[in-house]
Amino acid sequence: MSKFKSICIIDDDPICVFGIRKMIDQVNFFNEIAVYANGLEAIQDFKKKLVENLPLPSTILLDLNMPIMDGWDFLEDFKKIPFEDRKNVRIHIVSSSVDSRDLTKANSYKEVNNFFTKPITKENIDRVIDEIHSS
Amino acid sequence: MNLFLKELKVNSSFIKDTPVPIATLDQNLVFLSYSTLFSEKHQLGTSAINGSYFFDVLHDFPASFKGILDNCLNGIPSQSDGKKFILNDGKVVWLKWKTNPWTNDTGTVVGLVLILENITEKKVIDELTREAQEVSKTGGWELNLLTKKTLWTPMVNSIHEMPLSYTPQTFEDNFIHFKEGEHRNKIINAVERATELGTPWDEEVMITTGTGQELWVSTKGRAEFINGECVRIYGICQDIDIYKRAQLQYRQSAELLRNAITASQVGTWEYNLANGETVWDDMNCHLYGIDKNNITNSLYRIWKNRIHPDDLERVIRDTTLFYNGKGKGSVEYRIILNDGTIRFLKSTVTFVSDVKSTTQKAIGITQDVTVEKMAEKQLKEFAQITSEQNNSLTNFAHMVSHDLRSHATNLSVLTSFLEDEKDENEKKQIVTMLKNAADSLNSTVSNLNEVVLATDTNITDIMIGINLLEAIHRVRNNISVLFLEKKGQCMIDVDPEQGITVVPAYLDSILLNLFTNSLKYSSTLRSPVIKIISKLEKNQLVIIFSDNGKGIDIEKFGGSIFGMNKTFHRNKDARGVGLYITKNQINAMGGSISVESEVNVGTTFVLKFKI
Repeated sequence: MSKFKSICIIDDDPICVFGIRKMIDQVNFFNEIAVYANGLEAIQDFKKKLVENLPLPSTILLDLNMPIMDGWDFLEDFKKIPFEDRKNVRIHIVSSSVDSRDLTKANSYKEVNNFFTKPITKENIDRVIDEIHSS
Repeated sequence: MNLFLKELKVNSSFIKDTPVPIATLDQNLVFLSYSTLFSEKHQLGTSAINGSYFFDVLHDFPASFKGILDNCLNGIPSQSDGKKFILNDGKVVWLKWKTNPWTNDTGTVVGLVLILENITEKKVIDELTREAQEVSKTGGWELNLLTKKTLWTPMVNSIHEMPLSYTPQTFEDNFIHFKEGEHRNKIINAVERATELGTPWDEEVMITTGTGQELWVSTKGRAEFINGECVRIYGICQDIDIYKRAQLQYRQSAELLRNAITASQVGTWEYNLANGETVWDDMNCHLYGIDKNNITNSLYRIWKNRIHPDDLERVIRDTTLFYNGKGKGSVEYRIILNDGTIRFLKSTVTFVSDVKSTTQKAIGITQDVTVEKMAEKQLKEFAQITSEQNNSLTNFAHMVSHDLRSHATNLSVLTSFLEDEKDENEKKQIVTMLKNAADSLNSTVSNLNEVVLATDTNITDIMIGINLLEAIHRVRNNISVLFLEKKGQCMIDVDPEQGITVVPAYLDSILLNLFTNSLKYSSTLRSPVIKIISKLEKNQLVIIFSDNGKGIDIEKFGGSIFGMNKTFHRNKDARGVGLYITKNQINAMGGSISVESEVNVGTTFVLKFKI
């Protein structure tokens, strides 16, 4: 288990981000929380970290519908990062979508660990943490 | 006796030239003298027969004839216009004769005078003629115009089903047997022409027989003139009822068939595979749009030229396949008429080979299936539209679900936080967020409402004609603040007189959306320039709306530019539902919109409206 437990939220909805943050604060597990308003901001920051030889966040909560670069495009770009650099990163989708097509599509990415429907709950966060422990 | 012989000598040369086949015989039936004609008639040649025995000369004469001659020598004259004898070998001989005993001064029979003709040949011909008349049911008639007397051969009576003793008694009686009306009139006219002008006739008319039956006969007649006056008309009457009725029935069926073919608009054609000879009926020419009186090329070439180039290869291939025993004998294809219209034809072919010769023919029918094809096409279009709408509806349902969910979720999460929160500052922040979430929900609902309105295609009756340029200026002026902010320029090349039939609110919404998109997604490197051009093209008003903005990656987003994307929630400005609404508004007014774009160069929308 990594002693550096960082999490990042990629979501354009400030209310949603506010809610997730509160949830994460309550479990008191992660020692760093990063927030990106869309996929592009996230991927650009990730690349910067890799250049500076910094680790990527171990957990990503990813929204799907975002302007500029949505969750799907983010996943496509994320896959291009060398596996060695991203092997400890766990991605969980957090979306308002109940469209079965979105769920099916998410399942086709082996990089995606869970598909949570908004609002995110305490149980969802517990599960994310459990998975970190068991890995 | 000597005197008699002496007389006979004189008479001998006299008899010789008598123009009848005559001979004198003595008591022993030995020739005393004979006429040249007698010799000719009995084919005796030039050899002299005087002094020869009758039956030595005419050795094939029936033996029973001797009895007649013997009787004559006994003083009983004999005469016959024709009697049939059957010879020993079974041959038939017809003889016509007249014989008188010849007495000397004392009244003793010393010989006989005989006029004799072999009429076998004539009789055979007569018999044949009679039989022919029987078989062909042909009779003869004549009407003597001087005596007004009519003669009928028994066959005529038989055809008329009248007693053999009957003949028409007056001139008028000759016509009463013809069926009243056109038939009788035809004959009266024919007889009139014949007696006045000498024109013969040959008519097929109906008679009414003695038993009341109606019968078709062929009647032919001609007139005989003496000193410029018609004295006699004569001719034949033939029973042609069976043949004529069959012919009429055939004609009737043929007529029915022709009517059926005409009514069903089916063209028929024939193609001789050996020599390429092609025959088309009138309907076929009509279907191919060809003036049949002005055919300048071979029909096969005309056919090939008419077929739509995209269909020709398939038609030839299918036909060849069918000729080789594969596939089906009907093919559908398009033809292009002279005025450019497309017609759908269905051609059904069958190959016929003539047993007697090696000729092979393709015969077939052509049907115009344009209406069916159009209906089929329309049906496919409907299916396509339905499928598209269905798809839109599914997307719409998911979008509604997604967007309403996200706001509802936020509202519920925020309210639960608000309940638990002790910190007053934090509470204030949550309330602000609640207000934002409620605003977003409101905006989402009004957007959804706009989508519903835009998909209502039943608005054609509220469309009115307005001035296009005025509408553009009005919308542009409404967002002049945005133009100032972005330092945008607008170049408009639209005919000031150009009208457009629209729902005015839709046109405003469309223009507003295009303007704001162009300004919002303008390039960071240059000031936005928007160009609007209008032109007329094939009964359509084309509006070209182009900018020099960021552009859209068509390859990536081309399929979804006008689609409904789940991006407009919370973000009224995003290019999500705006173009979807624009497209639906244009479609609802019977127009269309398409897009061309290049990243970092600009975007061009082409709008087409019905005039």
